[in-house]
Amino acid sequence: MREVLIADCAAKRYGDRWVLHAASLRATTGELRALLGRNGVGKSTLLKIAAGIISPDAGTVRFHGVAREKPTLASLAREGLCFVPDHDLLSSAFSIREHFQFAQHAGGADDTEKVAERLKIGQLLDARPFELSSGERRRAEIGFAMLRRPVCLLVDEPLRNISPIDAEELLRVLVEMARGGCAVVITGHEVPALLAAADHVTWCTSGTTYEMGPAFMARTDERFMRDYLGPLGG
Amino acid sequence: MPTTVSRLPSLIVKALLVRGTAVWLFVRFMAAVVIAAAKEQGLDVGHELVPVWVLLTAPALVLIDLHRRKEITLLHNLGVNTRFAVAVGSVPTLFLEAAVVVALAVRA
Repeated sequence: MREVLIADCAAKRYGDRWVLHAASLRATTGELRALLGRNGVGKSTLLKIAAGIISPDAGTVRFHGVAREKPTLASLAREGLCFVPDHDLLSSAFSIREHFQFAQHAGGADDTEKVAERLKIGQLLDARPFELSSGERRRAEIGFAMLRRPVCLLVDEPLRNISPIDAEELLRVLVEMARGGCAVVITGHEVPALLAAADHVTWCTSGTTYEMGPAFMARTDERFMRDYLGPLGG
Repeated sequence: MPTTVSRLPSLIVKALLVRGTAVWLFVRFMAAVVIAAAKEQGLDVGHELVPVWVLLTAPALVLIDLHRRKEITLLHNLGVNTRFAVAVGSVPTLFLEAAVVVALAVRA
């Protein structure tokens, strides 16, 4: 296991408001990491900084052990990064099959049909994204990421707007990708499901991050329980 | 080993070229409308500046179109940067505008 992507001591300000002041994110090969935190604490911002979409006001991004001066998603993607935003990854101009072919063209090798069947969207390959439900579209986006065969995959809220049974399946796919050697980082608020699947938990709060370790360790942390999980414990 | 992406899928290239052609037609049409309106007012807007205006406007419209379609993140995930995609989408403008300039020069 090695840390393939590190966003270190990232700081970001929107106007006068500092969203992050010293937050770090690490993605380790073979591991699924959950980035948790309350709404508005900067999880998505941190993920986008790591993906090269947002320039931080301070901090560095290292990918494959090399510090990047001005990383962009395009340049990081050429080296194996894939970023799935919380919405609108797929274009309405192309069918799901065409998107999958783009991903294969970009370095993937898996069978399109096999991936579609695995994600239960085999019948929808010729549909356009706008013809799918949000859950189906989310599965198609993960399918795109699978076919891309990334070294590191960052997914912002993969379980948003999808049913528990589909969420479970999607998490299983992400865990499989991690077991296959991919460094996976996901965010979200579906705490029980995320804690059950994650190998490691990073807690984002008050502009910084805390490495909580494995999920069972996170559950024993008093501050994490009090300030994030709440009295019901997630 | 990290995967490497070096070029756009042909289907995306085709889409960018078709859209680029539509953008050129739109910009040319707008130029014609502006020139006609100016003529009606008795103003001379300078035909020789139209190709420059078209070449500056078309890439901006290609970029706006990519954002409007929310395709930037998709392209980036394929290893294609925005500048390259805009350049591909501007190719029709370059060729078609050059053809118009040559045709007008020959006619003159």
